[in-house]
Amino acid sequence: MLAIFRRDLSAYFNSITVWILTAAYLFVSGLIFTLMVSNFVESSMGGPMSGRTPNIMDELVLGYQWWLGFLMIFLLPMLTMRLLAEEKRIGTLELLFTYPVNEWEIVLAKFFASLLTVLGMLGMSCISLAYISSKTPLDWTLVASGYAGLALMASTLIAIGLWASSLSASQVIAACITYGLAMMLWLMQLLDKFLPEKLTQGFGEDSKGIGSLGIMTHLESFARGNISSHDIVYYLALTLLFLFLTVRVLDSRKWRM
Amino acid sequence: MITASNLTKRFNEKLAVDSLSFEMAAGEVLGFLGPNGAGKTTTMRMLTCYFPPTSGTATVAGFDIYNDSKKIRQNIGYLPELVPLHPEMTPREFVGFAAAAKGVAHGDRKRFVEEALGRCNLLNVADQLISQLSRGYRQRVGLAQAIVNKPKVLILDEPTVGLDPAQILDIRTLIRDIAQHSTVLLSTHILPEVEAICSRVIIISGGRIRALDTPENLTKSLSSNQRTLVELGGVEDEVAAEALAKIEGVTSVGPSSPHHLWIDSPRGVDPRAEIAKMVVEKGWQLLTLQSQNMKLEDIFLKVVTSEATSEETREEVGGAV
Repeated sequence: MLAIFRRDLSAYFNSITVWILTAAYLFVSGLIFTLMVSNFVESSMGGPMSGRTPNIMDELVLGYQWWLGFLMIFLLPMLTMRLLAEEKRIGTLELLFTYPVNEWEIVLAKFFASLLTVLGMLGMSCISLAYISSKTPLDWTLVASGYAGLALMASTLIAIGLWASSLSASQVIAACITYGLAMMLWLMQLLDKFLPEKLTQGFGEDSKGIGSLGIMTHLESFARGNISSHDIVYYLALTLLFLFLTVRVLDSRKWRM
Repeated sequence: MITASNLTKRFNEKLAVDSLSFEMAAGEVLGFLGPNGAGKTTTMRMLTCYFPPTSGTATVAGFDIYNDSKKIRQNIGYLPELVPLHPEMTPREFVGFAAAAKGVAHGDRKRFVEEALGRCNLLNVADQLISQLSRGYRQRVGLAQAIVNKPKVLILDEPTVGLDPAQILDIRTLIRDIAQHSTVLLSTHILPEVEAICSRVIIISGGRIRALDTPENLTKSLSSNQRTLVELGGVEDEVAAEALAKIEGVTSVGPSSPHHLWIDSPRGVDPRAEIAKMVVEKGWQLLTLQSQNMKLEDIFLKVVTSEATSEETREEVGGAV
């Protein structure tokens, strides 16, 4: 499993696509960060007169992390689409199946190679925050909590992408399926607004209704620092579900007619 | 080394491989010969534990394909037909990856990789990108990844397809060299290849074994006729044919090319002496007189086409009912 993990990781490092994606991710998030900082500075200048003290964590860091998550929805499908589809297309997957490794090892190796790559990107996005923290103190525990949420959200998106990539030998199809599912999960949170209340109200007292199926909703809890078990379970369950489905797809060659 | 008993693979209603049984001793080179779509690749995929058979069973290197699939995969080397390689890697990286994935112990890995590269004559291109290598070199990288774990059994699916004649000779020499250390099962639809490297041949068509023997025995047992080729001068072909047909034991005579005639006789009857005598008596010139063995190619065609015809007939009958 380690061998496959290392091969996939080095394939990422050798791939121009990955560097372009990373550059694009950092550029766009950096741009957004700059805009947010100037907004924040403007609003804090009017602060004392308007009678409010702006909170940098709420108004800047939270928003920045929301954007980092939101951009991942667009970025990660392009990162994961090749994982299995490409190996299927050139036939190396057939070779891999005749090596003494099982399907879980293949899937987990690829999953972790992607996850580590994405964590690298997220790590680089910290630079903006590190810069700001030299001007004004930040609550780093809260920042870390937000990043933990981002990492979990990334693992969910990667698992979905990996599954989509296992379905066909076409990277384009894989990317389309991942985009479709990721958008759907994102838009879930809007359902609360559009569906009649009866339908959206969940069971129990403080349940959040159907909107809590949205992938960005849970990210917010992390960024605000009030993590509850269902936020963690939401991401982990989706990740495991799609990893499991991927293994089933790879297994299917054994019984498919 | 390999025992297959009643291996059967069914895709939907199509029977790809139909109760295939054969055995292979250690050190043997067995050739799988058959037209495209005969079930060669499917059989190999079952033996390499890529997918299980619909029914029947097999053991490879002493392990059962159902219960010990992982052990089999540790002990085999497989080269699929399309030679799948990662183009962005170098041969050294790729073979190293194969060694690691196949579970070659960390301490041995470097040595095994260098050995495999050396045996496949890849050392001078070991650090170039695979995407920049020629077809022949890629084939060798494919072979190198197959032998890197020093497998007991090597399974090669059409190892020379798509190569130029010089490369084909190269790869064949390499396979013969490898065969000294492991048991080799290879498939091909090129006949001279089988004659050149294999100690035994399985002719497979329509998912079934049509013949299984050494190339020499196949040639003997399947050629019912002995054919003699003569080239004559100083006589019209038709006249000569008529006269030659009267020789005792000759069953038929026909033209093969201008001034060349083929003469068929039952196996074991050699008409050459009689032919020479007649030519001398008639005062013709004898330019060539040659006894021809039926080539594996003819046998292959005979076996495969006769099966195809009988299958067609069967289908027609089925359709009528």
